[in-house]
Amino acid sequence: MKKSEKNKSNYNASKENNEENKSNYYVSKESNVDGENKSNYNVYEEKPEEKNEEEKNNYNLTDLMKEEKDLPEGTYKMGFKPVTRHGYNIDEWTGAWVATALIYQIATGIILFFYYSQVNPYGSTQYIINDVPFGHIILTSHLYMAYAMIGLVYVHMMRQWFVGSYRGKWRWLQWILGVVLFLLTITTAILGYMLANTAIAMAALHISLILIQRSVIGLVLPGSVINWIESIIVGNYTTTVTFSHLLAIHVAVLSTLMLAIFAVHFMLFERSGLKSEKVEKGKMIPWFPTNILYAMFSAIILIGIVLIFSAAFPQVLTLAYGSLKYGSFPVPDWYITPVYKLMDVAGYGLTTGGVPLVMGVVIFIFMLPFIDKYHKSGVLERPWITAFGIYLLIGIAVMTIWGYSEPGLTQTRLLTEYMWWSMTLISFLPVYAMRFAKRDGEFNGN
Amino acid sequence: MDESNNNIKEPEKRAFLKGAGLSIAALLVGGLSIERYAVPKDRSVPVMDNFPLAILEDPSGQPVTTSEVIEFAGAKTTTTSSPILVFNYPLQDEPTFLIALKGVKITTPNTPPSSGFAPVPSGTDAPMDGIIYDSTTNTSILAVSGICQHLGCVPPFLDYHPGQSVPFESELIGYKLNGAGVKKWPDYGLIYCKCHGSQYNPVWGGRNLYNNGPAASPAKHSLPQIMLATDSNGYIYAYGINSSNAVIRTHLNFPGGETYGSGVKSEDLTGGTAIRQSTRSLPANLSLYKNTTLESVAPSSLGTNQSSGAIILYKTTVVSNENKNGLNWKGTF
Repeated sequence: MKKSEKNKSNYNASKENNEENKSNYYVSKESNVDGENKSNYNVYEEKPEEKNEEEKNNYNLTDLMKEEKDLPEGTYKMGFKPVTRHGYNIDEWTGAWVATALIYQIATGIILFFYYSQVNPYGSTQYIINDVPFGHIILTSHLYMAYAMIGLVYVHMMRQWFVGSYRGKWRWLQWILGVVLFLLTITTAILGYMLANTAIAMAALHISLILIQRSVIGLVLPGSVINWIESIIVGNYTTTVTFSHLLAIHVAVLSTLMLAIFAVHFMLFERSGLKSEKVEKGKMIPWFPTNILYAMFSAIILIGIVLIFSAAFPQVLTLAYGSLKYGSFPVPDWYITPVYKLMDVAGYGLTTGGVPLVMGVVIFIFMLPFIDKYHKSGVLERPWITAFGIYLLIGIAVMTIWGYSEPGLTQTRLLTEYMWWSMTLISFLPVYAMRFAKRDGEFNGN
Repeated sequence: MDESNNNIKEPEKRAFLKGAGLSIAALLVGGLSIERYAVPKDRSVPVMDNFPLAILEDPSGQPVTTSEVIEFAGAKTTTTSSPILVFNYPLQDEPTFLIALKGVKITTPNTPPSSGFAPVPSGTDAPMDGIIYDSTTNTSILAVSGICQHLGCVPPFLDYHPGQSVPFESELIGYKLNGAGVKKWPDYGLIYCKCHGSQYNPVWGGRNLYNNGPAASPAKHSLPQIMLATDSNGYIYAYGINSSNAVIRTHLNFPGGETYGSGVKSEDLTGGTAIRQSTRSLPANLSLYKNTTLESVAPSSLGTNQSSGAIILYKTTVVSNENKNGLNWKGTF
């Protein structure tokens, strides 16, 4: 009972009239007396006089958005919580943008699904661009929103990294699911990019399969498992079956997984609340309508920006698989280039250097809540975590741009070492210097 | 031990864990049983038993001749750009390069060439098995797989750049047209993969992996050589893979791993669609280099794919990135 009282004092800031929300149930007073030995489900009884009263239609739909009071004990509560003004700071909304992108991708993906055909992947994509009304802008915005989504996932992740909101109550789990969502996002994007059957897409498919077979993944896992994974991706490897599989994984398997994990990720967020604010009585802004309006507003702005870019820079389908052009140049999508370049510049070859390196970084990010043993969560209170975050940010940016401008170029080990060590210096030195300066300042100030 | 609920500290937790555990176990068992759903029955079944005997045709369906190929794509040391010639062999979606080198007789070296820019032994040696050698023009026609031995990139990202055409990507790793203090682009150029910089020297025929550049090839094997033969009309036929070589990169099937040597012949032709059958009649005899001598053999002696004792003649289309000298070969493979 103490718990629920505490909850009340925290969240009853809303000035809505409680009387309106008549509940069918009430908590029996007896339960307080001898509730100890009773099962959880027997603590309430219906009021005798209400028993015969019929439930009536309520046509005032705004009542739906009102706070539900007097929920029977044993209710599993999942709520949209109010926040203070601080909760409307823009950096608290990075996740909302990613969610917007996910929903937009599902919506446009369903529309594209009407015309895409795995029997004629390149031709049907061209058909969407040239012959379907609004097809060009829907396809382009589907592509650009995917770009935005990946970019925003990075923003969202690095923001939590620097704020340190991956630890605490359920936040560790939320972080881990977030990393899973990140991997799903990238994988779904790469599969979507393969679906058009361009020359670069088929190169990417071959590379993916051979990386699974030949890298450390293939060396560690038994052949039958590799064969199974490969079958999931390409079936019997004929063109039609390959594209049927890629399509099913892209539109159904991974996106459903993403949506389901996102639901849990979001629910965990609502359970934990914002890391950076404390619940203050009287300062809470009710979830409805402020929060939902704000969410819709920011969603519309993001979609608007993407649509403007889609209209201004319509997507140009690259060379079809099977076409020949002298001196063609493989340029993968930008979100692949960091990994692509990392493979080149690891300096130790793909199987021993590139693939384990990428896997190592992902595992580190995955385990971050448990690796970070600092007691405080300020940026400078967790110096090496912060520095490593900066290192990753610089690394991803450098790899992306470098990979985009000079793809497919094996670098010398010297250049690679030079780059890694200078990045290490750039990221670690300032953080420790600032930490020293801050402590020094605090020491002198006291 | 008393198992009644009163003595268990958190009965709900235990019940939940039991329920969840049972559900997950049931899901796993159920999941295992549909695991094979992802593996179609024909996944590991070869599309055909043996390598096909295929006649090379142009996009209009006319057989291509050796003289046409030499005229269309014959590369010299002075060539600045060479049309890409590609046909699918042995299955669809498995591009193979057709390269004609003027002034080169590709021979079989005793040991794989390891260094230098002119490793081809002198003209007294016999042409390498599986190439077509035209002695009047001293030209070799070579077919090698167009699937990179590193990570499987395909044309046009992997393509042949002749002597005077240095791709931008290879300049970045330090190749120059006329090497002074840097590595020189070879006289007849290289098959260069722009995905990750693998290099193959067509002048070396079936043993073409090139590691003499400024940066080593990330690939570890040569591009497999596709065996070629001609008939009395000068038509070109493909009839198998050089067994001294590697297998086609995307052809490797797990389990089995890297296979070379004699194992290459038994490489399974799975994972794709067969090339189309031709309605033409089989040539009476094919002339080809076998054990370094030019032989005229009956198609039935080649061990190519057959149906109830009769050799099947397949066809495959040679396409190019351009039309040239009145030959309309532009198309997609």
